[in-house]
Formats: sequence, structure tokens, C-alpha cells
Amino acid sequence: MNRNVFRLGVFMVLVLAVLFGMFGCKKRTPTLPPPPPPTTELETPAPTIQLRANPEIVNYGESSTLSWASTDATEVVLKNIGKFTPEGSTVVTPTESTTYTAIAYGPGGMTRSQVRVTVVQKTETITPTTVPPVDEQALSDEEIFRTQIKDVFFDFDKYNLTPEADTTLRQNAEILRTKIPDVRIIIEGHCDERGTSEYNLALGDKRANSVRDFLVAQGIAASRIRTISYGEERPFDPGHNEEAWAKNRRGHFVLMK
Amino acid sequence: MRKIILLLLFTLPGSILLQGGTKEELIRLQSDIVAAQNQIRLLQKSIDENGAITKTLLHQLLDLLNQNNRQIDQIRSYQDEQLQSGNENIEDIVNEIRMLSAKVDELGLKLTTLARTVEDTKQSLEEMQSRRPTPEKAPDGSLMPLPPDQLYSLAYNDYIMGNYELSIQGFLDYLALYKDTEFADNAQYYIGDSYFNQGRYPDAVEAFAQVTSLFPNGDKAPAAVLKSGLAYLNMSNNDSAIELFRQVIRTYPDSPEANIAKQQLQILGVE
Amino acid sequence: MKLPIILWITLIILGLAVNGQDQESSIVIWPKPTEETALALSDFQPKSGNIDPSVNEYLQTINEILWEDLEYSTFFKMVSKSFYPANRITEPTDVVFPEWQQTDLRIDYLVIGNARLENNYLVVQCRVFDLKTKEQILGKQFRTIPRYARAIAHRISDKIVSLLSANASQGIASTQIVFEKKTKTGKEIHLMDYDGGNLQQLTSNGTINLTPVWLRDNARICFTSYQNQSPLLYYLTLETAEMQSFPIRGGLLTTPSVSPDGAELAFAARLSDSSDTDIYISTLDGRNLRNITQHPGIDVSPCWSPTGHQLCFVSDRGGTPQIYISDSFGAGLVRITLERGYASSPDWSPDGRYIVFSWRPSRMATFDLYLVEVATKELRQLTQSAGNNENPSWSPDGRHLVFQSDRTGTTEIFTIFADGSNVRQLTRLDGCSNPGWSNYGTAE
Repeated sequence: MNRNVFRLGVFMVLVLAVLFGMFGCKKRTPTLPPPPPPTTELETPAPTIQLRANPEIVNYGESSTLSWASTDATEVVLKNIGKFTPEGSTVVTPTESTTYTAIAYGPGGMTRSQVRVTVVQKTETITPTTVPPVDEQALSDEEIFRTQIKDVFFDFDKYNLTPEADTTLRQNAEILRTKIPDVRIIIEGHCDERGTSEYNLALGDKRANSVRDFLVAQGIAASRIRTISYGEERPFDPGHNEEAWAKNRRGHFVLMK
Repeated sequence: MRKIILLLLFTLPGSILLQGGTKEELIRLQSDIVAAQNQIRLLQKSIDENGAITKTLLHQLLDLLNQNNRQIDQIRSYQDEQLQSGNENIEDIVNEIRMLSAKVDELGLKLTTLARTVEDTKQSLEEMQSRRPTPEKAPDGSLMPLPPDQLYSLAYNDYIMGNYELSIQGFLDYLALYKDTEFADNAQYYIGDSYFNQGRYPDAVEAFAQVTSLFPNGDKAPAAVLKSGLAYLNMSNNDSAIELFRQVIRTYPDSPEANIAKQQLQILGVE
Repeated sequence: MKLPIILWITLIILGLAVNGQDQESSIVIWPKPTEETALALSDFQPKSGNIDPSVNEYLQTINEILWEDLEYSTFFKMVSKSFYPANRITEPTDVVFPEWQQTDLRIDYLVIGNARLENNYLVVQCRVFDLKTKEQILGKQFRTIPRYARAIAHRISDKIVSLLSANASQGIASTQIVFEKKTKTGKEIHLMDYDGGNLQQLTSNGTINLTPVWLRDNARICFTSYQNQSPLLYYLTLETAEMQSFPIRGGLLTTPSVSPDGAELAFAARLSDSSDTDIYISTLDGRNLRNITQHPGIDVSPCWSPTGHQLCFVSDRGGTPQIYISDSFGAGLVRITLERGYASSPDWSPDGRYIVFSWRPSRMATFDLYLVEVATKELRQLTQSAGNNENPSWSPDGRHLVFQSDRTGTTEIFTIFADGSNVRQLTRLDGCSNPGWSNYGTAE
């Protein structure tokens, strides 16, 4: 009995092997993709430009010479001053510290170079007319805040910062420290709707404070920051799915007016 | 040669018949074994429900296996007779049957071991239960004290509901019967806290002191020292209170009670 | 062959061990309302001599509301009116006792009454008879402006409940419920009767107003409001709608709970010198402030035990939000929920034995109401398969709970018996949450 089974088994294995060989082989047709053609096009190099100022610090009323040198450029534009040759110089007399921008245009594109001329003001020469309009300054801060300060997001029922939030906050701190050092901010803590509203009030508060503590550790003055928890009361996305919830678990930055 | 062929011719039908018979026997045996397995599975389910049934079933199983063994022996002796004819096929089959019967024997052995293990487990469980302090009957034989968890829950429920006379008595009863259990320190603490909540501060201090002296490493020790401090505070004995608050901070610096003690010291204007 | 047998042995041993545990935690005790007393309520009739037919309108209200109140009180089996003797009962003399005493009716007590309009006042008389002794055991007269017909019915119900329950309950029909209601600008605090009637808006500051609770005298409520930007605590006097700010301020103050003696307030707060939310206790006017949860992490939603010696609250100190209890100093901390899922918004039962809370066993599940017996930690599930059920609050007699649920698609307020039966929807307003049940109405 066993032998018969054994024979039958051997036979079956052979048959299967033959069948597999027949069909299996068909699939193994080599279809390697052809090697990519060698790149032949040569790219037009982008222009380069280097703008310098001499001296970089002047007293009020004194002049400074801006000079530049460029490669692969057909034309150089000094922003707010005019068009120039690819290499050259011009004299400026700024009434206040100014950042000059030179743009080199060429067949390969355009490139910028900046230099700042700092004007040392004499106290007696300051007149109200030289102070820029307050509105414009505030608008600019607001613009920077609106476009560059990013919100951070949290995991479910968590108030510790994720690696992404960590990165975002380092960038935010840098901007708050260097670009808009005068603005005061409100950090709002928000939660998704899945927890209970009471607990979420505390959780949102904890989130806002995690963000605040991080910024303070990054050198932002605590006096510039106020926190507030909205719990689950002010969702950004009213939906009831993970996509909406993920958006609603956030530390939201608001500019304090 | 012809004789041999003739003999073969005569014996073949018999051997085929035998072979057929043995096959049937084997299938039956196999199904018996499957049945045995199923029964063991059933056993597994019901074993914890009823030890007595388990035992009977196990005995029945063993009987069944013994019967199988006996049948195998019978077949074996029958085949031995047939084997005299020297049929190879039969020898093969016999070998297989031997292996099978050996396996069945093994199964029987394992089952006996299983039965013993179950018996042992039951015994050790009974032992464990008997080791739990079973309170003795009252002299009149009518009152059985409650088991520790129930007695504790009852006393704790009275404590939570504010029936402090009852909770004190309940925890005292608990300690009288189950002094060495895990919750003995809690019981002692709640006696103190029941006094505390009633405003019986000297009694509270005394009861809390027992927590630290009897169960210095219990989890209620920091709370007991803190609460005796608070009891002294309520008795306007600020010096003793301050000393006890400091003791909490010193002895149990990592406990939540240490923070409460610090806060109390701040409120009292000492640090 | 070998392996399976060893496996079986292991399984059997495991089976023994596991089963032993199961048997120990199978006993569950919980407050079951009784329905032993059979009550008949004969419709109140216009009193003879009444000349203003509009009394019938008020009588209809009273008869309906009183029936509902008595039925929902959990104390009575209301005997259907179709079994009553036919004649109308206005005065005690109209009661034909042999008819009411028929044994197949099995009525224990009979309530009768009448009403009349008199100089623009509604005067209602009510009597209760013990049918065994034919004795009148209650006789009351109420006089008010007709608009308060509902209130009269509630008062009558409370009188009857208080009398026939041997004061186990003073009756909850006159109690009220405060809650948050979503508006275009945030949430405003609203008020309604315990049965959903008589809805009133209490705040209208156009910001977010949250977590309202009653002070013990029922005259004021306390809640969190963003009306001065930060979420801080305020009192509101119901009579005058006057707001008064709680003197302690900080980054966040919320979830107030008034102590049983009415003198202290427990609340969750992040004060300016702290970076996390803790439970604090102070007097109602902010004196004697102390922190009872000096622990990093979130502590929120405190609730006093009826003795005033313990509090329960939510803490994430174990990793997930769970319910803990400690004494009112913060000592003797004990976790009373399983270290699993998400447990929140606890409320301690008026008898002290239970804590009701909202629990989601796993992230995929919904929130349901659970009762835990404090002494044994035994759990009982009160709601199931009906959306999220959150923020429970006990009725003062401990026989009912009010909570929010999104079972109908919008978040609404519901009440339920403490055994999980008799769910009743109180609002259909879209966006009602965090109800707080008042204390017993003040005695007349």
C-alpha cells in the first residue's frame, strides 16, 4: 500500500515538475530595458554675480561705492537704481541702512547678490521724516509671520513634540529671533474631537505650553509669548475623519496685535 | 516450487482477506485515536468546570485505549499465526501495526501522565486554597467571618460613604483576622483616616503611628505620616505638625505626599 | 504526537487558572430602582365653581406632566388609567373606595386633585389616599400664575415621591439642568427643567462658555468662560444674570466642582507659575488655595465625594487618562479604573458608593457610560451601541444620570436611569453638551 502511494507520489511530482517546467519557462523571457541614451545636451551655465560695497559702514551723508563682477551675464540690474553692464561700479549715498540687490541676467537664467550698507545715524540728524511709516513696518512683520511661521502638529492624545514639530519650531524660533524680533505671539493649543472636551482643554493647554517651552529654550523671550487652549472648541477642519483630526491636533501661531 | 506457488495461491486470498481485515482494523484504530483526541479536547474545555467528570472521562479514555491495545494484541497474535506462512506483505503490515500500537501505548502513557498532572494541579490548587487563612467558626457555629477581600471591601465602602464608626470596626475586624495580608497596612491607614475625618485627631495620630511602626515599607506609610502632621495642625500643635511634614520630605522624598508636605510648610511660612 | 499533548496539558492548566479568576469577579451590585408601589393618578378636574374655561388647558398640562414625573421617578408602577373606575374625582367625597380597592387593580395609593382660576391665579389642590386604610396621607394647595402650571406639577410629584419613598428621594421633578449649547460664535450656557422643558439661555457673551456646575444653593452656577480672552472661572447668579469673576486667574481654569458643604471649590488649573494642569482647592472666594496633584502631567475634572473628604479626578500620570481618587489634601492616591483605554469626566454618586464616568476601552470604540463601585472597583456598563456617551452628571437622588450623546447624529442631552434603562432625550437643538444636574430644589 505504502509503496503504491510512494510510486504515485513520485509520478505526480514528476508530472508537476514537467508542467512547471513547461509553463514556468515561458514566463522567464528576459526583457531587460535598453540602457538609457547618453546625455548629449550641454546646459547653458547660470550667471554668477558678486556685489560688494566699499565701505560697508558709512556715516550719515557719506557715500559708498557698489561694485560688481559677473560671469555668463549679459546685463546686471541694481534693484531700485538701474541697468548696468556685466561688470562695473556705482556710487550710492543712502540716508539709512539699505540692502542693495544686484541681479545678473544671462542666457542661463538669473542670479542675485546682496550687500548691506549700514548708515550710522547721527542723533541730531534724525528727523521724523526719516523714520519709515509705522504701518509699513508692521505690515512687513505681519507678512513674514503669515508666510514663514508654521503651525506644528501633534499625535493623538500626546503633547510631546514630534521630530517634524521640532524642526518646524527651530525654524520658527530662528525667524522670530532674527526677522521679526519685535512681534509678540499667541500660541493656541488645539485638539481633535475624539477625546472628551474637558480633558482636551487641559491637553490643548499642555500642547501650547510644550511649544512655548521649546521656543523659550531656543532663546525667545517668554514675555513675547502668550498661550491659550481651545481644547476641541475651535477645530480647523470640521470633518470627522483622521485627515481632519490630524489637522486639528495643532499648536497654532497667532500674531498678537 | 509448484508447491510453493500452490501454497501461495491458497494463502493469498486469505492474506488479502487478512490484509483487508487489518486495514479496516487500522482505520478503526485511527478513528479511535481521532476520537480519543477529540475527547481530550473536550476534556480540556470541561476540566476546569468539573474535576470529577474529568477524572471519569480520563478513566474512560484509558479504558478505551486499553481496549484498543487489547485488540491490537489480538490482531498481532492472529497475524503471528498467519506469519508462519512467511508473507512479506503481512510482515510489513505487522510492523506498521507494531509502530502504531507503540504509539498508542505512548499515548496511553501520556494520558496517564496527563491525568496525574491534572490531579497534581488540583491538589496544589486545593493546597493553595487551604493555605489561605480560613477563619474558624464562631463558638455557636453559626457565624462564618467573611473572606478577606469582602471584609475589606465592606469596610472600605463604609469609609468612602462616610460611615466611619462602621469602617473603623470593619478594618479592626479585618486586621484581627488577616493581619498578614497585602492590604493590612491600608486597613490600618483607613482606621486612622476614619478617625481623622471624624475630627478625632488624637485617635487618628495613634492609628497612623501604627501604620509606620507595623508597615514601615507599606505604600500608605508616607500618607500616614503626612496625615498625622495634618491632625496635629488641626489640634493647633504646629511644632509637631512641622516636624512630621519634614519627616515625610526626609523619609519619602519621592512620594506625592512629600510635595503636599512641602506645600503645607510653605502655607505655615516655614521651609 | 508529543507536542500536542504537552500543549493540551499547558492549556488545561492555563484554563484552570484563568477560570478561577473569572469566577471571582462575576458579582455585580448596582442601584436598582424599585417599582413596587402601585400608584393611580386620577385626572385632576376643574374645581366646582370655577368659571374660567381656560383652566382646562392648564389642567391638561398638569395631568400630563405629573404622570410623566411620577413614572420617571423610578419609585412607582403607574397603574394605567383605563383600569380606573369611571367617575370623575374632584373632591375626596367623589372617591368610591370599594371600587378603588378591588384586589385585581392592586393599587396602593390614589392621587386626586382639582384646579381653578381665581383673580388670574391658578390654584391647584392635590390629595393622596392610602387605599389600604382609606386615609388621606397628603393634602396640599398651590397658588401661582398660570404660566407655572408645569412647575406645580413638578412640585406635586416631588411631594409625593418624598412622602412615599420615606425620603429616600426628595423628588427630582423640580430640579434643573445647565449645559453648553453651540452657537455661531462659540458656546453659551443654557438652562432647562430636568425633563427638557422651560429652556433658557443664561450667557450671551459671544465667546466660549464651558463646564457649568451648580453651587449648593442652586442660586448660582460656576463655569469657564473665554469672555476675557483666557479661559477663566466665573459665577453667574441666575436671578439677576450677574457675572462675577473667580479671583484666582491663570493660563487655564476649568472643570469646577463645589464641595458638599458648599464652601470650597475644586477646579483644574494651570496657574502662571506652572506648566501643567493640576487640581486645586480654594474657598469659593479664592482663599486658602492648595494644589492636591503636585505631579507633572494633566490632572483635570475633579469631583468631590459626598463626604467632602475625597475627590476623584482624571489624570494621565499612568500614560492614558484614567480616574483616580485621593483625599482632599492629595494623599492616599488610588487609581480606580483599569489602566486601559480613555476614562474621563467622573461624577461621584450622591450616596458615595459609585463613580460614573465616560470610558472608551480602545481607540476604535466609542465612549460609553460606566459605573464603578469605589470599594470593589467593579464595573457596570450603562450605555452601549449608541454613539458616544459623555459627561455624565448624577441627579441629586442618585437614581438618574444626565449626559450628552451623539447617538442621533447631533450632540444632545439625555437622561437615563442609574441602571442603564429608560433613556430619555431632552434636547433637539444640535450641539448640546456637558450637562450639570442641579441640587434638590429648595424646600418651600
